[in-house]
Amino acid sequence: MLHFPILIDRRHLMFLIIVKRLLAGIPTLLAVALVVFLILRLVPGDPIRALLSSSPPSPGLEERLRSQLGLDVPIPQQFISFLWDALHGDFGSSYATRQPVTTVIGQQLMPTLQLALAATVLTAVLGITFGVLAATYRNSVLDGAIRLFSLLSTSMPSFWVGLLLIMFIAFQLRLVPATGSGGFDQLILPAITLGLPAAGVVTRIVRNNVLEVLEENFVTALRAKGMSAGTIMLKHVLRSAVIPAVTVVGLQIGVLLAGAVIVEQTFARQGIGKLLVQAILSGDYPVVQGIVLLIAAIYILVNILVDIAYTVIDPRIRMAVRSDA
Amino acid sequence: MSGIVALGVSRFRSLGIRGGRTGNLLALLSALWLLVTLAALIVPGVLAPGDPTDLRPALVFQPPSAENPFGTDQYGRSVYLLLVHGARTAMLVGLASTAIAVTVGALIGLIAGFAGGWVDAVIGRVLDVLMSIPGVLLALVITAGAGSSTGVLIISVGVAFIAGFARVMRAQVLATRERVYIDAARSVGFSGPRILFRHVLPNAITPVIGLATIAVGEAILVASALSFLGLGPRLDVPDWGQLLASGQPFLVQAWWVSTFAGVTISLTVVAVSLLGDWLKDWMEK
Repeated sequence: MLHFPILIDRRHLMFLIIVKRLLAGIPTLLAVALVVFLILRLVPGDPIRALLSSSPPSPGLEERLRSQLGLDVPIPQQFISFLWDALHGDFGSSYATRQPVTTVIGQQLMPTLQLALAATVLTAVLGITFGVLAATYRNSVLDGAIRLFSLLSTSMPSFWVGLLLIMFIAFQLRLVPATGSGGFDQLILPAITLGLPAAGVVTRIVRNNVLEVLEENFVTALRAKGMSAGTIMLKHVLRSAVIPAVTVVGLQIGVLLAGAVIVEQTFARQGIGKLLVQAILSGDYPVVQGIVLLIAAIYILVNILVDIAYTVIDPRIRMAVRSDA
Repeated sequence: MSGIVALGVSRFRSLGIRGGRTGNLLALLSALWLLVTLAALIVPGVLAPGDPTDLRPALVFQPPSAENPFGTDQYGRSVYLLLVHGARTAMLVGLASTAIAVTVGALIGLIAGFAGGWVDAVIGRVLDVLMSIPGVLLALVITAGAGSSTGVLIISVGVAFIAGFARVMRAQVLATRERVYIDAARSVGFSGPRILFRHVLPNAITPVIGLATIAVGEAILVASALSFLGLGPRLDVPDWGQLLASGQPFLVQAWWVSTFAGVTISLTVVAVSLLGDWLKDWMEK
């Protein structure tokens, strides 16, 4: 019976912490909106000119278009009305297709999310496995190979890795289709391309963490007590070494979403990355704004979730939070 | 595009190549390769005499030969000439954008760490915001607004890296300012700026230099990615990323166009990374 009040207390506390963290993400997101809005409007370059560059010049058209798109009012006013509309779920309409931005993005969102998710899983699995293996067999040939993998995967341009995969796995071996989106077989190569650089980063961090933990006193004590190396690794080292890697995998999600822009282009895949490049090249600012905000929002949200997960996984942090509150 | 710089995590990257014969040899090879790329930046005509933008319809897609060491592309341009002359864009973007990021970022970090209080809080929030837009994306948005050229590429990649440096610098300042000798300097009556530049800065500079070497490599990667997407310099300026992209549709007929461009970019980034690692170890000794 004594457990009860404590349990409720803790859950209540966790709930409060989660709400607090989520609310703290809102001002950041607003500021991101402001930054993106300002960059697109203050730097030289004019979307109206870009829009009109292909049509014959006609007097008055520029002014009409400007007022129609709401670009004739001062920038602060434009931002306020953008925010007000955004609060009501209206992120404006694409200059190119006149469709609402939410619709345009919504149509392309799923392929990118699938790609990012597949790449994240790959990053975590490869990164943690390689990192632990390299640290366990430190200074062996395996460790050297894994370190080489980590160096190359973070140094090669991802679009070139994509091209190499297309060349060898799709063209030579004919294992999977080279381009396109839709099927699972078309997801494999892009997910590898996107996940490899992040996997290289995670590998390095996990390797360093495991090596650090292996030198700690409690490991020496366990060894002295006669526990086998395997058991120490599985039961004790992994837990404290892998938890920090969770944060990094979380942080990599933003990088992965941004990397999708390049990977989708390489593999001619549908997705918001491809949409973003088209929108940038055609000066379609509402779509650019919408996509960047969406990626930033996902990034901020994932980081908050990672933070919370961290609190749940690691009892030391949980205790600190409790005594804090 | 691992985004390490954008995150400002420098300690994560040590490859574990600690001195030793292999480490030194790799660092030497890296230095040699970077000297070659620097030579290509300063005197491209000496390494590769000729006009890289010369269109030669009769020589389209020639495989590598003595005359055209890395073959020719779909316009009959020599891939070797394009790569040597393209080093300019890559190295300029890599070095100049890192210089911008280090200068501005370190200054912001210094101010935040040293001033503390509300100044630190405000700067911290601004950095949070910059950090929640992934670096490649921020660079994309800036080029989207400002159009594409080497100058815009330098500024947009530089801006994307500022937050990382500011974070690291701030952390270092916070770590050093509590030291006894800073207290001593203060009690003697030295002014704030003097303590800042004479005592705090020299101690905080090592990790910043470590991060800077990664930033050069990452800047080259981001820049090549932007040109791959068609947001790089004009088409008549030789550029590695652009060359790699232009060879993509012809992979089967002419593997050499993309392959040599890819190898060149990767080797440069690897070299910067290895040399940076070695330098960091050497400074910590």
